[in-house]
Amino acid sequence: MNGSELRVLASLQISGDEAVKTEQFRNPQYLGDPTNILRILDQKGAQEILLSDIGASKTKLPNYDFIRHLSEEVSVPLAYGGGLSENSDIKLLTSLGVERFVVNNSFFEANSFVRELSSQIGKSSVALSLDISHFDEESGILELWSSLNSTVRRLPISELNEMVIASKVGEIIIRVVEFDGRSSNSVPARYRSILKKFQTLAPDLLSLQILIGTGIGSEDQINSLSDIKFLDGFVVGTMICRPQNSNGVLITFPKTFSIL
Amino acid sequence: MKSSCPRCLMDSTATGWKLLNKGCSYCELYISRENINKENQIFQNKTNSLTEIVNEIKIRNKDSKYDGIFGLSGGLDSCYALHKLVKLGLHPLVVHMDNGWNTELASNNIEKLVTKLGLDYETHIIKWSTYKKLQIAFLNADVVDIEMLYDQAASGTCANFAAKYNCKTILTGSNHSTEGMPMPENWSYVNKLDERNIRAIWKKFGDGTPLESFPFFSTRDFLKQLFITRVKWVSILDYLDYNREEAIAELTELYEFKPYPFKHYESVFTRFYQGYLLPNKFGIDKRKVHFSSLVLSGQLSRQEAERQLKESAYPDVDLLEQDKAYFLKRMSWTEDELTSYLRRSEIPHSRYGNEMRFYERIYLPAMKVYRFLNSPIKVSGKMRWIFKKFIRSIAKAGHESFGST
Amino acid sequence: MSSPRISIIDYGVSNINSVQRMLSQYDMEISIVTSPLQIDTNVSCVVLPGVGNWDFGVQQLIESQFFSYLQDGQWRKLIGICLGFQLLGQSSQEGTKKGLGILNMGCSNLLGQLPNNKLVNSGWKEVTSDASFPIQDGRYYFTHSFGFTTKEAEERESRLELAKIQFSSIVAGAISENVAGFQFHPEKSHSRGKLLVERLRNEWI
Repeated sequence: MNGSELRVLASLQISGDEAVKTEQFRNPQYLGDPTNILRILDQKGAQEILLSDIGASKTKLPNYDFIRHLSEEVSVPLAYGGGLSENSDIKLLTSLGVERFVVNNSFFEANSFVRELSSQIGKSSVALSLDISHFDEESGILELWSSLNSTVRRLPISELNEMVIASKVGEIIIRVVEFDGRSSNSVPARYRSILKKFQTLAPDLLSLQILIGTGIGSEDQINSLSDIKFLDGFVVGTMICRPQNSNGVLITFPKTFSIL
Repeated sequence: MKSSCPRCLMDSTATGWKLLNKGCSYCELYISRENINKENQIFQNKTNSLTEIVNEIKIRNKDSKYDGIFGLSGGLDSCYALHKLVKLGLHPLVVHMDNGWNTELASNNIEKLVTKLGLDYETHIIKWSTYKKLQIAFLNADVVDIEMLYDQAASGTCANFAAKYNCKTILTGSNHSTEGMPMPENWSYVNKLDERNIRAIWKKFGDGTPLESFPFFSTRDFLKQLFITRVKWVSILDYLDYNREEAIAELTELYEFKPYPFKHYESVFTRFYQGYLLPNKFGIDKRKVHFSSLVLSGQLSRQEAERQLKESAYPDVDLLEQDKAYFLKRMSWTEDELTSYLRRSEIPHSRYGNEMRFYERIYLPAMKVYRFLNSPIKVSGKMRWIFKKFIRSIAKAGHESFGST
Repeated sequence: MSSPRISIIDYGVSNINSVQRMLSQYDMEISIVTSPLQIDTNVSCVVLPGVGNWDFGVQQLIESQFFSYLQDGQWRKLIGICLGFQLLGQSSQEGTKKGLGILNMGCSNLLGQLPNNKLVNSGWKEVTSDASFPIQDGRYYFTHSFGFTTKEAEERESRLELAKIQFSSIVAGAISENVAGFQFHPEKSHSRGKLLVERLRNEWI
């Protein structure tokens, strides 16, 4: 992908009606009111927003009214993840402005729901979030962390390959748990090696949209991975609220990737 | 029939306004304040040289990691002040109080400055649920100064960080040339540090939940700082020739600063409050104060100021509609609630619990003492003056006791 | 020109609110309709949005009675967005059901149409078009895995003015005298999307 075509999504986590930022998907720190934060992001030309409700991922109850409020603040695509299951009102969420559905636990626990979702909403609107707690490069086995019950699921990449194709998911978001809220110089190299393994062991997935998230801390780090042709984009969290790892919170979006 | 000053833009809607000398009671006060202020600042810091002030700040903050705390709102004044301070060689900790109403412009300008200047940056974010409810309480209380919440929180944030990092100086972008015109008593609450008033209004109109994330900073706290912990507040712009137009040009060139279309544009609520709520509910147009400051400091012609005043405080009807809709959404109010709010009469802050007695009887005298102690009169002169006063008071007492014969 | 009256079709497959929100920023009378009976005869333009799977979309259109309404052609002008645009065609490789056939072309999968053998097209893509197309060149937001090809459009629907995704033969938009369609989401394309709507309102509707 040439640099200017990279997708860069602003990731915003919410818990209840508060915007928060986790570290390794724990210890949510208060960031502010999501309404105002999204408004600022929209004005900064954030390409897409990924809204993750970390509370709902446990209760399995998306906050429909609140999602409606939030979606009013953005005129760019809004992806939503958090507790989506067979009980979720997908039609309602779509009418409220959610344009992509991000599944995690339900992919494994209720795969038929995901297939059903895809057959209704279309492949390109269903994304699978893989939260990787460990990756054994030799054996090609992924350890996926579940936010629902903080357990770990072991899965060979090749098996994942089959599952994803069968479920008609159109997008994969690869996130390394360790890097959440903690960008560092070693992050790009780790993703590079993970992606390389995907390339060899899960070749069918390469034709889908592939995004990586967690730990990407700068435009330089984004650019350093832009040579990986099947990598379509990045989900950035810390970068949009704590640029350059400052202690203070500042809502921002990398100018190079803004759609203004 | 409202009458107004020929020199500045204040008029009879302000308490205590009257025509005086070449202008009015307000601009006369501005001018005398300008002089006192210069003296105060100079004498408080015992010098009128910028480099000396900077050195003094460095010395006073030697036990801290930072050359003081800088409160950055993201507005033009604070951005320019920060830029100047760093140019003069200071490295303060930049702090920002986030009450949930930041505009994209403010975020941008803060980011540009902090990044380019390579400064450490910290924020205090008030829980939105708390701040929202506090604002609603103030709205329901029908008091004029809703922004008192912002002012006190901003001061409290700076004070807290100063304590945290053991800093003895708090630097801000407040300044006389664009803000020195005295605010009429009826246009805002005279004591922004009145914690008791905020709590009293909360008690009556709030929902009783704790206000933990709100950084209170009371009159007592301020006096403690002044006399005990010896933390000083420095308005650096008062030591420079501060001209807004030039400041905008300089900042734009150096930092890709995005200028604000009008004052207080950095906070959506502040511009709605000043541009819509104040004029429509209270009949107050604070632009008169701001423009008067600019006219008196030669940055704006009176004619131009008059012309702008005739136009709506909101130059853009679309923006007003957007801001109103956003305000209603965030306060969870309906249009009807806004309409009845605008119709209700004002209730003075003093109607609710407050620190005014402390303010008048202890704070104001304490400030006089403070200024006196830091005045330029030599110590011997002071002693002579005190002695003279003492003798006079004895003589008076004696005269009264014995009466004239 | 008095405010044009617009009806947005709600057939259970779309981000109705976003579309409505965007359209209502311009001087137009918007109504959301759940049945063809709700469409007034003096409605200037009908909008068919859509986010979803082809077969599901066709089914929903049939069940809501809009399929026959649209095929009958009793509307003045019609705008199709994303899936709505696709449904104006005859068929899609995504499913088996027949489309409205208002446009004489079908949707195919994106094999060979995108760089790096991608089959899913998501993101902000550069759109280019003929000069007379009321769209500003620039980036618009796409998310789909099927679409019309310019080859087929040029061969079978020469009355259409076309816009395409740069360096591909994917149709980004098509416009004729009374039908317009966009593969991208104008309501999700920030200021450019808004500009497009404004132009359509002023120049086309």
